[in-house]
Amino acid sequence: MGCARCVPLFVIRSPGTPDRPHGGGVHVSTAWAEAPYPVLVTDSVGDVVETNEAASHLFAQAGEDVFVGSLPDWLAQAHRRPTPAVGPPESASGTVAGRTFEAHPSPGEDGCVVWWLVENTDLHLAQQALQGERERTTILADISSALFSSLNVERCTEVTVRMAADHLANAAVVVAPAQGRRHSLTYTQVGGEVAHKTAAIDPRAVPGLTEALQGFPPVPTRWIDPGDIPDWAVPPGFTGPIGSVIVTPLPGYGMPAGVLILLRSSTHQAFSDGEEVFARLFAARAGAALSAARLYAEQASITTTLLRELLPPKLERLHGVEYAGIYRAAKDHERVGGDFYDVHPGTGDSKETFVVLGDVAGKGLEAAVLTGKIRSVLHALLPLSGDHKHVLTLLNDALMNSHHTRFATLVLASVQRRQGEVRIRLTSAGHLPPLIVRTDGRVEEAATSGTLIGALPEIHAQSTEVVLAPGETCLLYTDGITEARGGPLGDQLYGEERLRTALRECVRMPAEAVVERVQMLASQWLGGREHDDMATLAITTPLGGGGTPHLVGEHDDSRPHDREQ
Amino acid sequence: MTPYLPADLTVTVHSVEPYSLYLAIAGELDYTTTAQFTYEVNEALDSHRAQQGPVLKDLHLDWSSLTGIDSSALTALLLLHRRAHPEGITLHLHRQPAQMTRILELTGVAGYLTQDAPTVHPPGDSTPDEPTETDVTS
Repeated sequence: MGCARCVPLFVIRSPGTPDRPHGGGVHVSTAWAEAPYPVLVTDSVGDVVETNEAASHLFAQAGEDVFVGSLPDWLAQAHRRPTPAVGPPESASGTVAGRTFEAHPSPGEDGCVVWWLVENTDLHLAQQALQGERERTTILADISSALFSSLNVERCTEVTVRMAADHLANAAVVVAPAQGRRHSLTYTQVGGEVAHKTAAIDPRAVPGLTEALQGFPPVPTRWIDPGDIPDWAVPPGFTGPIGSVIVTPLPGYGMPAGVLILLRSSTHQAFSDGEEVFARLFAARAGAALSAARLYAEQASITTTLLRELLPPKLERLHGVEYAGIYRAAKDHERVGGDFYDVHPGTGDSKETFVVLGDVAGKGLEAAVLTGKIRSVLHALLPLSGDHKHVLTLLNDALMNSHHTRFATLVLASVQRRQGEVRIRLTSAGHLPPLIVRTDGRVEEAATSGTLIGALPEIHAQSTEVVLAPGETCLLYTDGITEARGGPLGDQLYGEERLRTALRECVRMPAEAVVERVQMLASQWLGGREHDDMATLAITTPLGGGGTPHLVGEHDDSRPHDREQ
Repeated sequence: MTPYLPADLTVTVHSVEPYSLYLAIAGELDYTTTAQFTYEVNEALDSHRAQQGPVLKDLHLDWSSLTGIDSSALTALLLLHRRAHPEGITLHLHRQPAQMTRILELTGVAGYLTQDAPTVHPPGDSTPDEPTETDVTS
């Protein structure tokens, strides 16, 4: 209440408001003569006929001789505008002596007009500042979305220089942290191409660059002499002398992501304090994006290196025996999982080739890491591969000593070719027994069994030996195949019986074709549903000679018998 | 045509005796439900321990209502064995489906899972009911 009553005391009626539109004219001249606002009276043709003290003072400051004769242009134009038939006459605005005014007309007698000039310089400046801030905010938002849409370091650097040149300066350079003694430099200028260069530069040549590369706050731009800028810090093709320079660090996550150098030619306005602050805001965003991209690149390279060790090997024909393997990880976008296989060639035709296929409980990278361990242990135990039980016992001890709860099932096979047939010693350690595809279409299960590895303190293992005639295959596979859930209703397991049926059609097929076919049938059964890791490895005695498979097959039926006799 | 949805698994406590706990497992024990199986069986063992003290000797699992199983069930059973044996609890499997028998035999853990647990003498525990059996197993 009290306040409301006070208000009128502080309200000064705007003299420019035409609350008394017919109050102009000579009668009130004494009233506006001492008014704090510049007032001009113009006659019907637009000549100034009278001014008050404030107006004389203002135009004297402007150093213009307007008031004796004509009006300033913007006011003259407003004067010539016809007075609207209804409502208050239109006001006009313009500058006098570097200040902005709004001129409010009050029509007087005989076509005279009294112009009240109300200064709005501060409002105008505030509006300009607001608009500038809005533009900068928009630019920052654009920068953020452009920078964070990519995790590629080169692309991020390009976007940074491109946006810096477009919005902040005539040209921009990003100096990346040193790689040894060399720095990667990325340049561009307004409307120009982005250029890259890697060079051994001396950062001390640019004032503040050494400090900025270490992440220290930027040196004020007025301390940098544009004449000191070396040639390597100027984009190729940048013409004209440099007028002003900003050197600002690109702050990263715990480490500097590089330095941004902004250049303006001498014909362009020098960087203001506000622009310097804005450049720092820009650099903070660019630095965060660049740093994220760099961290990502490092992680990606580490992952690639680790994955390379975990990927299944490429298999080929060795010592007259065909090997083929296919591995499909549980998640199709992952390349590694809990299944694995390896083929360690014997040192000569007379030596056994050691084959292993296994399955670690679980899926994904965690399981893959354990497969890596098992594969390494088995590789080291290669000289002992003559005794499968011994190898399995040592592997079991190695896994029992580690503290995880994971276990593995695997099949070991020692393969040797002897006079046209292939002898394989097979040992299952809790794994599905391998299936043997005979030339007459029978599918046999290898008579081997044993304990899984890594869970029980004591293990047992029963080995078996099988002989493969030419065209016969021994298939090692993981339960991802038989436990593939799908079929017409989507809830049936593929199962061992379907696998045996499929294998009956694989008689005399090369190893490559057998694994392709089995994986294809299991995938069809799945019909795109989720699945476990699926691995298949075929060991096949190749069919000898040339000719069509049919003819060769007929020969093959007799060949093993000949040799056995 | 019908999309395969991961089936539910239920673990029901059938009867509670001081030395024996009977649980019935129904539904699917596969990759999606093994964690739940482990959790619920552990809960049952914990609440038995809380109510009866650490005296449980036999955990009976009835599998007659099991509708499906895959190889990851083995992980769950080995985990259960790892927890139960140090507490002196022997596992008993009843009416398990053929697929389960197949997995246990294939991996050679059937005998290991159900072997008698070592006798544990909890401090301050006097059990006059079965003195002969503990003597035999030790």
